[in-house]
Amino acid sequence: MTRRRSGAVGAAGGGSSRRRFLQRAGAVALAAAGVPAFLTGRGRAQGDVVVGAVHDLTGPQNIYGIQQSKAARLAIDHINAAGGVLGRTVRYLEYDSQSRLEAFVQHTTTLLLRDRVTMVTGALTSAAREAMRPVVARYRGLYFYNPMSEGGVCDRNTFMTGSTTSQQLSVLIPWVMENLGDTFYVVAPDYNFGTITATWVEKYVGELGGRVLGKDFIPLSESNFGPTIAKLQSLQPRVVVALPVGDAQTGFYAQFAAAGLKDRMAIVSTNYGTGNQQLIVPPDAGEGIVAVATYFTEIDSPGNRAFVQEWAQRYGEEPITSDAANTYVGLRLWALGVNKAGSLDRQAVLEALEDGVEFEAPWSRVRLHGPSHHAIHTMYLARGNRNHGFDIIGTFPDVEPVYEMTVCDFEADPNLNRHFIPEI
Amino acid sequence: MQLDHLAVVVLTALSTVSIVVIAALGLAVLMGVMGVVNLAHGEFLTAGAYVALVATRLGLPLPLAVVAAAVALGLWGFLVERVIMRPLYGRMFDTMLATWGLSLAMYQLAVVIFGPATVGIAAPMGSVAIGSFRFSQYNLILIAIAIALVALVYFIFSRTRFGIVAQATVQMPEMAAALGVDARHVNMLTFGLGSALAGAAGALLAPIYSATPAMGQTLMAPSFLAVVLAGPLAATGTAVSSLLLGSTSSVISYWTTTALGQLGMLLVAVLILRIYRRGISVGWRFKF
Repeated sequence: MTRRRSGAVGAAGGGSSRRRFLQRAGAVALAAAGVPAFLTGRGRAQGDVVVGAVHDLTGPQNIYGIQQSKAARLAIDHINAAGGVLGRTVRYLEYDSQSRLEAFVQHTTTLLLRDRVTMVTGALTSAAREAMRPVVARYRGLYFYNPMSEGGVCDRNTFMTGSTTSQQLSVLIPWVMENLGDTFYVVAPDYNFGTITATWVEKYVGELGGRVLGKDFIPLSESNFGPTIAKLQSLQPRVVVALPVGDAQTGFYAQFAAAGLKDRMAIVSTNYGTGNQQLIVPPDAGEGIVAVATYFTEIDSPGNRAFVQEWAQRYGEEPITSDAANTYVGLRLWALGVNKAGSLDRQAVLEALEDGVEFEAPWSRVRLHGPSHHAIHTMYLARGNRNHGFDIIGTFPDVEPVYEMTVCDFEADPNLNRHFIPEI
Repeated sequence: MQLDHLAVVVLTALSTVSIVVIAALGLAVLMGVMGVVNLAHGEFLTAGAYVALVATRLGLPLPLAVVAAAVALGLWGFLVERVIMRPLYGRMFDTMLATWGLSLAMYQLAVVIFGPATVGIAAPMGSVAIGSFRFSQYNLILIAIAIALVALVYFIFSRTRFGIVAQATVQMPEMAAALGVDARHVNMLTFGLGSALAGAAGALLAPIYSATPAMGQTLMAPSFLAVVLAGPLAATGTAVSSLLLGSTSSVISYWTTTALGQLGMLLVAVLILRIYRRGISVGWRFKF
């Protein structure tokens, strides 16, 4: 069943010359864009349920995007192996954003208007997600954003299945204060993820009686951390909260180690490992970095070992990122929601998901908290080792996204649409 | 401010400058001597980093890996000059388009061959104590290497027969040809030299940056800025423009945040270009 909307290019019926013009213009645009004819309109085949995705398959963000794509394909195969949704096969239709924000807008529009997918997923950076959300809202789509995020996004069209910054820090900061020290410095990328995370660090550290000595915001294109390292030495915090994002900023860890600071202060992070940085970073630099996430390849459970093995057979051996694992979980949660609703109708699926679904992931249980559209996760604390991997040092079951559950409640206000930002 | 503190701030600034110089020099040679804007310069840097990565995995020590990267990229430069650049000389925009295409192809090739994340090269040395501060030995060595590279390029293009002929070939092609110079040969060598410098730069910077497909792209912006600001003299001009850009960004980053440091660097670049429209080195008495 394909939902049709008036106004969409190529909509059913109609004979007006304007519409024909639009159709032709669309066809010309597609031809000009080099899309072969057999690829167009494939979302409309009868029988299959189509899920659309936009991921960073090329460009600087593809250190995250390629794994998101692999995980999504694996999830679709598992959903189909378990009978699909509503007894129908699920098909996966994906576009490459080339790590460009405008491509997210363009491809999301295409997925919703031309391909008429029932759900869209994708984006890695919060900037890319913020590019997709207005498109989803405009064409009344359903959107699953699965990576970890800065949190606070409260949007009825969007499910935020990854962990949020405050969720991760609620585990990390108390542990750090107890084990590593109580003076902090924050090295964060200069966009909303970095600035909001820095605010959360200040909030948690302040509540527990510690001090944040300073913050440095780094442009995404910057890869020389000399001045930051000099600042760290003059302020001498016990703990550095490092949040580098993307290829360019990964150099921070090696430069920090090369300056001989590893035995003077500890590095902790909410996103180290999310781009498999532990592979890129030299062993000396990676050793001892404490990370917190909803998933690490090293989680030692029968279910996870089987998952990792299947991944390796299919894609080759590589550490699986938490964003990939969350992408897998996100799609499985969606399928559970559709089957629970018994229909592909957007409102019915929305209500089924908001009623709460839970998925027994191969490593731990993930519960979707309906009223806030966020997820309750098991959090893992891990320490980087010398073999480009992690040792799990703590498991924290059922960690709630407390902040999002407090500020975002669609039961109380179904029309709520806000990006909540923490205030101190 | 304590003396050790001041020393670290100055060294940090010099280290930022050295990175810009090392990254920009190959681009500067191609632009300064041949008037070629190599938009694939970033990918040449990346390729140098990957050659060094493979070389160190094969057991070569880093200095030899740097040499290997320079040689490999030098040869690659010969090939690119022969196949892509030669038919396009004198057509500035066509060479830009061609090298831009080359950059896209090389970038994707890196993703295909090495994947998005590969095991990196470790910075080979420890740190030195400066009072109560510490500073990376490798960054100190990079400062020395940057000075040496500028001196080497200056020497080649002002003192050696090849360098003088290479400049003459571009400035007065007919005259050079009349004197028996094979312009094609000279151009190929110059392009190879510029590429070799980029290869060595990628290898040198790989231990402190991360060797990823996009590594060169992040170095492209400061390199370009330095070369444009430098003007006609590739060695001395680039050294001074890098000094201005690098120390501005480093000092502002140190006192405020890195984001403002980058902004400050761009403002300084705009300001200088308002005054010296063709670059700072116009009218200098240096030979290169």
